[in-house]
Amino acid sequence: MIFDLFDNDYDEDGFRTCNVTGMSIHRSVENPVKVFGLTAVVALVVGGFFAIGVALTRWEFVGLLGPEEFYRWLSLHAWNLLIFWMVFLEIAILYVGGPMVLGRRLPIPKIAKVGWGTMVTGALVINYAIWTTEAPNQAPLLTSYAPLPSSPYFYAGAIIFILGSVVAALPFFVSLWQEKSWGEGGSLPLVTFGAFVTSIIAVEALLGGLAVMVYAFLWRIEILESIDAAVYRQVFWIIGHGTQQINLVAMVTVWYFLTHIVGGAEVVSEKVSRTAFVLYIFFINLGAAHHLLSDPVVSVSWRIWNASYAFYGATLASLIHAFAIPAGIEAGRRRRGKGGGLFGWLTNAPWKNPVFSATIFSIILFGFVGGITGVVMGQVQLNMTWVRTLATVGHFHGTVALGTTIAFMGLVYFVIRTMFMREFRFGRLASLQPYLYAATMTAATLMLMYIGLLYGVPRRIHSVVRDIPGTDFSLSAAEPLMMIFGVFALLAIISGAAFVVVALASVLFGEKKVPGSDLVPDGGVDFESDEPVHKFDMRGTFVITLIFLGAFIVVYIANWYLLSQLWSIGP
Amino acid sequence: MLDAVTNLVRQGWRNTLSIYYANTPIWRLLKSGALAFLGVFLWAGGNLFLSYLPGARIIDYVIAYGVLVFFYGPFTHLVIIPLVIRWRKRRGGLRNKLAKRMSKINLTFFILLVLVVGTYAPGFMFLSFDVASGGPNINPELGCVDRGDVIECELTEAEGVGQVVVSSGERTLVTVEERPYGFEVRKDEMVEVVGQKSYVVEIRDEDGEMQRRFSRSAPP
Repeated sequence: MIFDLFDNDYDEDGFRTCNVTGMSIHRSVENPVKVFGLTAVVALVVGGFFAIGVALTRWEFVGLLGPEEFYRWLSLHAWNLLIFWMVFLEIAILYVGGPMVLGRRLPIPKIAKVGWGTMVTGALVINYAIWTTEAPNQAPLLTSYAPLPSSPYFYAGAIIFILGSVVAALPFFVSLWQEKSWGEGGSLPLVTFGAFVTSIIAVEALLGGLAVMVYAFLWRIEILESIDAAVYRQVFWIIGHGTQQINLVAMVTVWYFLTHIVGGAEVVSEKVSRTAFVLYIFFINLGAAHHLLSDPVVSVSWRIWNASYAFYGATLASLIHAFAIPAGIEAGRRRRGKGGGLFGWLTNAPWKNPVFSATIFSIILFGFVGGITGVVMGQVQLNMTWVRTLATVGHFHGTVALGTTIAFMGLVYFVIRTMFMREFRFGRLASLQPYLYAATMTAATLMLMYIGLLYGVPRRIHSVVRDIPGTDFSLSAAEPLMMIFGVFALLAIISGAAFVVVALASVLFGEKKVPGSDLVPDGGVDFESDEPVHKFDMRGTFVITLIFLGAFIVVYIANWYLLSQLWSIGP
Repeated sequence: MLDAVTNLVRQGWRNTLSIYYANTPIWRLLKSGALAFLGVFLWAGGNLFLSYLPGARIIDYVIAYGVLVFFYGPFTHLVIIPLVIRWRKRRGGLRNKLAKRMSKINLTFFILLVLVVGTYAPGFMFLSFDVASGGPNINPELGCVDRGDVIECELTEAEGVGQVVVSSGERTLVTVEERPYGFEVRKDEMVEVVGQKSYVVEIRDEDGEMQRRFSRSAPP
């Protein structure tokens, strides 16, 4: 049965034509995409399992784990979901965006296998090292901040995983080089371009990660006598936040890809979208500076330049995508005769298709929840009211759990239907799952932000609501909101588990069937009008953008106002 | 210019009406979800502002609107609007007459409800900001001196302390339960990590609950 998963109808040369995308797909690309995708889902299962302990501990009404176990579970939750689930799937995205979209074989396939094996080894070593952590070693969380020592195996595992990721990305770069050397000339397709930008940011992040983990490893095995904690922190965030920027750019690429394929979106202006991707290359990694805004070592001008000037270059890029993608859906659907009214193009879209609904929820929730709060808390001044509180945890669940994870769930559903060629098992649950996960995770995320902002409940601590030990300061007033958080966090985990059940049951037991018209944009592949796409009405998107801008302004002003109330200036 | 503005307002009003009466399943879901989200946003934001501006009565109405729209918004678009549209399709009769005025009645009732709830401000709408109800303040100071092979420590400001536990790695080295909570630890009993011997001093209250934790390194 396992080998049946990797067997589609290829011609003598190993190619087949996908009847959904029209792409010419070679076996050597499709199978690694499946392997990396399935490995990512396994990491999601592991990370999701550890989320149970984390949520039930921070929900102090239950208080499941003691401090030591809590940090162990939190570290495993963070590494499996923030790193392994994301990076394995991002390598798959590189193979889709590169050789698959370009209609090529995967170059140097053995290197891809070596990369996968190395990444899996690194992931296993890290999981083992965290699980077996004993004092005086500390569970590393995501940051493994020096000089707190973690197990030497942890640093070694991180180095192996990073090296494996670089190796696994090599076939993608070679395929681009082949395309530019032997291809028909012209620009790369937009999805390939997006994947290329992702890979540039990825290489920068991974090299930074390699530098910092090798430095920490040498210190931990006592080849280096001491470690400069400030240097560690600064270099760490090249990968610490860099990996999240890879998630962002990969997610935006997936948005363009899936909205086009299942929603009928067209790119209204390739130049504008490509410019936005280029802005990411220049500016987005500078946004990592917001992790150091309360760090006493870096200068004020360094903080202000990175987080209050350069970072807006990346914000502008995201705002461009935030307009370009819905505008593309609106114009594309109107061109196919699926418009009507202000929002008819949106409401008559294929909402029962989980690939479509997951992608749209990802766009909306990333923008409204993760994006706005990221820009707000990324500022030097406003950062003071967010940093070190649960609000920060809320922000990155807005970006990673609501934005990237939901988009990637949509991508996995797409791979199940078009590459594994399986019908969904539990079809109704498959249709509902993006709704359930989006709703419950949004509620849990908003509660995290709110508890952090309203009560200043700190992050990275296993219990604070009842009292902070040894003080007369109590945060018990936050308990009602913690109850809401706890319930919705559990429901979000159950909704995530529903995704895993549907995905694995479909892959293993789903009926093998060539995907049909249900995945092709409703309104068909052909257009109803010969008018160029940019001539079509986009007023619905304009209204949505105004609503988004309004929410942005309200949140921005409210945060500044509240900050100004914290102390008085003047006599 | 005036015509353009008039047209824009008229078109905006028509769009608003068409969205208000849109009655396909996905529209009902989107409107209900958006209003529930708006409700939570206003309730949460209102309470946040109230924590900074206690006594600002206007915020009570914002919170009341948020709480009510969270329930009433989905109720309107999942129940009332579909009913109004069904009744409007009937010819004549009381239901048809009622349906023609139902939206105005519904909106008026909702606004009145907001005014009443905002004015009487029931407690369930508000979050508590009482942050000073914890236990006693236990704030000991730990002073340690290097004596060559051993480290000598003593505790000052020890009110409320019941027990001091010293450990290194996984091993407990010393437990002290008597005042003045002084103790010695031998360096050769400490676990060494990254070239440094370290130990942890845990201060517990009389019930054995951890109150403070000091992590220290011994000089070489």
